[in-house]
Amino acid sequence: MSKPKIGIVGFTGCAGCQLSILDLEDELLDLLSLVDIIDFRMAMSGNKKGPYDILFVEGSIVNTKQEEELKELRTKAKVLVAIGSCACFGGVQAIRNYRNDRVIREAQYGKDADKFPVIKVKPINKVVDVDHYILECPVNKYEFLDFVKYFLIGGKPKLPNLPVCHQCKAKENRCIFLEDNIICMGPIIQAGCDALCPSYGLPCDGCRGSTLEAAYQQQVDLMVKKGASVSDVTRFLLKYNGEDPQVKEFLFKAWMEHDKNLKYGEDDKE
Amino acid sequence: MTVKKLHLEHICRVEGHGSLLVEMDKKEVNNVEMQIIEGARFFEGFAVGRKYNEAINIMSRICAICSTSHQLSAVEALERSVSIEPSKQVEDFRLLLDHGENTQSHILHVGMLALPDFLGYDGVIQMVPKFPNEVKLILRMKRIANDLQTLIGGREIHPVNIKPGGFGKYPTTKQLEVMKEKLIEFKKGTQAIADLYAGLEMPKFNNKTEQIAIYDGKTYPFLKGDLKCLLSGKTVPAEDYKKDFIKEEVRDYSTAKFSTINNGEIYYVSPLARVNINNKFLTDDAKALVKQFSLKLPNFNPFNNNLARVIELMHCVDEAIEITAKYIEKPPKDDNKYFKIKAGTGTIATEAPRGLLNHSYDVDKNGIITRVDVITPTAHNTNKIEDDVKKFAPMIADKKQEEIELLLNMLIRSYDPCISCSAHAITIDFRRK
Repeated sequence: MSKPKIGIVGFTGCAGCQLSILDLEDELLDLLSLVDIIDFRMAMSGNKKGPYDILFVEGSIVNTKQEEELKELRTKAKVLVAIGSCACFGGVQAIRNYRNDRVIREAQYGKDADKFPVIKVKPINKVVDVDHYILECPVNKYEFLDFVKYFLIGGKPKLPNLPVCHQCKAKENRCIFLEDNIICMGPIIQAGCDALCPSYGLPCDGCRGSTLEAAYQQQVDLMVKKGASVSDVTRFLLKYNGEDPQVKEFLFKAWMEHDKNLKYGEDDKE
Repeated sequence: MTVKKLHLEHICRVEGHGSLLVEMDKKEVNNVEMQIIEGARFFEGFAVGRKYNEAINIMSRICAICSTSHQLSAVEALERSVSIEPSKQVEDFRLLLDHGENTQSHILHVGMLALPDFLGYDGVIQMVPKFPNEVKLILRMKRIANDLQTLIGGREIHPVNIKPGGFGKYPTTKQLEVMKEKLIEFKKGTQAIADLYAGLEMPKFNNKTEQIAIYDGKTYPFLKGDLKCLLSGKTVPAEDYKKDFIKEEVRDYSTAKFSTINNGEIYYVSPLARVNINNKFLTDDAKALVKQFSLKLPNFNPFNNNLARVIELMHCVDEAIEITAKYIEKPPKDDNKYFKIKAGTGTIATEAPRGLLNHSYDVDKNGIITRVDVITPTAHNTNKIEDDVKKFAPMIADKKQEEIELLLNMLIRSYDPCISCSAHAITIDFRRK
């Protein structure tokens, strides 16, 4: 069997997911003996634009040109995988989707704001079909490696469908949410990071997106009980996951009546 | 009349998306546009309204390779905004973490992004069959640098362990001892990389322009200092970076802004600018590399940024070993966790791996951010890169198209541009008449 052809491309983000793949220093040479990387602009020149057996896509979509480019790439990829928070849920820049776009653009570009028309920040599944998601900000490089291994033997890895708390408890970390009243996103965020932040005594920041059937209402009730204000809740929920369907559903159905300042889609150009 | 148009679309082996357009009439360059086509993300817009301690993680998402620099700049500037003063121990560990990033970024650049150009390969992946030992050494060094970032920051990219006033958790003595051994191994590797680079010929090109790096008159600083100009000798306090000094303008073809100083003067920031301005504060073994490369200082050849990176690899690993040894002797204590915060403004100038980085914030009495301003190294350098191309392209105009494209790519790569940063890459478009 010939080696599968792999592409790694990036749209708008920080390039951290691509860099995470380059950070697989101990595994990179073995990986290269099993797959053929034909397109990885950040790491090499002489790239080929497909066809790909697997195309890994980093970053969110922020303009119409990128939408066209992504659609074109989809036609050349047998399997398309979203890597990282931006590609999966919009990433930090999706905070913008809940704010007045003009005000935000003017903060950065002043009177020249009109030169940079934008669309809402989109995770890639709003533009093309996505076959698999690999989470975290930046992407968890070992989950990336797992995916490639599964692909080579046929199949794909399953998400554990457990919250961060599950792994945090297994590590016997002190619960800073219940014991110290530090607002932590652990109860509703998808496990897999080995409870990284809580293991440093810091709260889960929420960078892996919602766990399946995440109990947002209970989480918010607990946050409020632990002293969070309405705007605190909104800010915590909207840090990385503005386009996570479960976050959006909760915000639209239950939270907007509490947070009167929260709006979606308030921009001058769609 | 033949029109020579060169459009290097999507410059490779750089971080992010950029293109270069060059239009030439015989040997005269008519137009150069450094087009940063990275989608705009508006950090300065959406970070407003966030609490000061939340913005640290948000600002690092400007860029992965410099995520530690962005976090450290953000935390220090935000601490100033709300009147929190970090201890000497916190400053030491921040510098140690920063050196993890500096060494990681520099070994990535000199080993994986730049070296393939000098050896005639598309990338480090293609170098594996012919140079297996070199590639293994580079990957090993990159691993060690990342181990340092992980030990102090919790993760290689976007550290999780930084917070106002200090760190979530400090490493144990045992962990520091293991790290020190690895850093000593890294230092040996650095000499091997230096020997390799000493045998390479950097393309010849001089463009004498103003250079800026931070300066404290005592150390080779990365995290704190005033802005110092190499040619004019002028020193500007970090807080006054925009007071009659740096001006930014917006151009239609780029999502990155273009900067000048003193009303229109082109300048640049880089590892070479740091070596030019602060070389007398380098460690002895780093100074020895300046000699080994016969690098004449001050230096105005941007390609020599590659050599400056190798020199800094040595300097940073030396300092990292020193700090590690210090805290093996005297283990770190837990930080003070409780602060009273005040409203205020905090502005800081730091050195990211690619050069000067400015972060500035206003925070209100509730700790909510009301204004953010960031100038990244690549945004400092966009004007200078265009100016270099204008002057360098005529010098190589007689060469074959392929060679011209390679050399222009190498010129841009020598800045190690970080395009996510600047828009908060590069494609080359070359037109010749």
